[in-house]
Amino acid sequence: MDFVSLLAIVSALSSAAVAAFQGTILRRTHEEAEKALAEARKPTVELALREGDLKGLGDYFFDTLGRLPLADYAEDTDARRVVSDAVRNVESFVRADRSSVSDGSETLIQADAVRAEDEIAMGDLWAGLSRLRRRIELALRGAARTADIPVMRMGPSQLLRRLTAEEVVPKSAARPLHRAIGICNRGVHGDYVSSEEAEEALALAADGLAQIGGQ
Amino acid sequence: MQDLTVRQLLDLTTAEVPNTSEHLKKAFEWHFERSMTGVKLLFGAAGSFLVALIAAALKEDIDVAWWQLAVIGASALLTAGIGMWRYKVTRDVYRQYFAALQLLRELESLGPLLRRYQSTYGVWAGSKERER
Repeated sequence: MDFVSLLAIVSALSSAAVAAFQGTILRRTHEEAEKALAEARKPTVELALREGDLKGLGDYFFDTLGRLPLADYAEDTDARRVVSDAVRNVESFVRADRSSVSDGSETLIQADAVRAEDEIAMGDLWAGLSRLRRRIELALRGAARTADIPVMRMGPSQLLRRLTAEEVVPKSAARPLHRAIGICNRGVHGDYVSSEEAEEALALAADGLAQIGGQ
Repeated sequence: MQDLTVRQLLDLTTAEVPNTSEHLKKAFEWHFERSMTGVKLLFGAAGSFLVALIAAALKEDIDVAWWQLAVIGASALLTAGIGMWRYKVTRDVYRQYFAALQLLRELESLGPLLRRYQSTYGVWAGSKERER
């Protein structure tokens, strides 16, 4: 075989291999991004926040959103919206000044309020403290409704300040509740909270809520 | 070439290193250099097919048939075309960088929570992607 024929064969084979390789990579990346985006659209974050499921929340971020290529994230407005919504949702949940009670979830939270104690006793502090914080917020919202005070989407700390100022919540109840909310906020934010502190938050909340008839 | 994913931003968020945007910039620089190396290789390969063909054609004792010319020319064009496409993708990496920078800022507010998740369920929690 002469040199030029060999060159023709080598060039044809190598360019075909490069094209096939690029095509396969492109197809796989696209399929992976589509799959990750389809999974990311499921209401996993809302469910995880409602259930106090830190593992579900972390898995969603690392295993579902984590699989999304940044190229797709940068170019696809839908992908950006899905990721932003998830981040904003969790951010507003962990932030101390926002309400953690989503619309329509009050009945559900009231029904499983007692689970906070079990979760803290079992060492699942994040779930227990987030549930306890919602429990306090719910009781404060109940008190505000009874006193006919509009509280809109205030978080538990703001609610407590407002209700204390309006003398709906007595100062003797506000102090333990304020401390309990502080511990809950730290735990929900992801900061270190010891089991003793979590137990203390439970006791303080029980004391404060008993005084405002929220238990 | 492996694309950067949101996972790398999450790892950066939980790594507790100062100046994360500098680290992100470095990651994109590596990504850009790796990608440009691929582009240069593709253009180099396309060019070498043509140079070898021209060198052979200039030799008096070698006759180049039309099909050889067509195959080598088409291969060089295809390889250069892929190189061109990769160059365009690489050139647009700055858009990914800005989007990633913005997302990194948003994710930083969740840093303590994501670290709590990893410390509770292990550093390798959420590593399905790596297992695959």
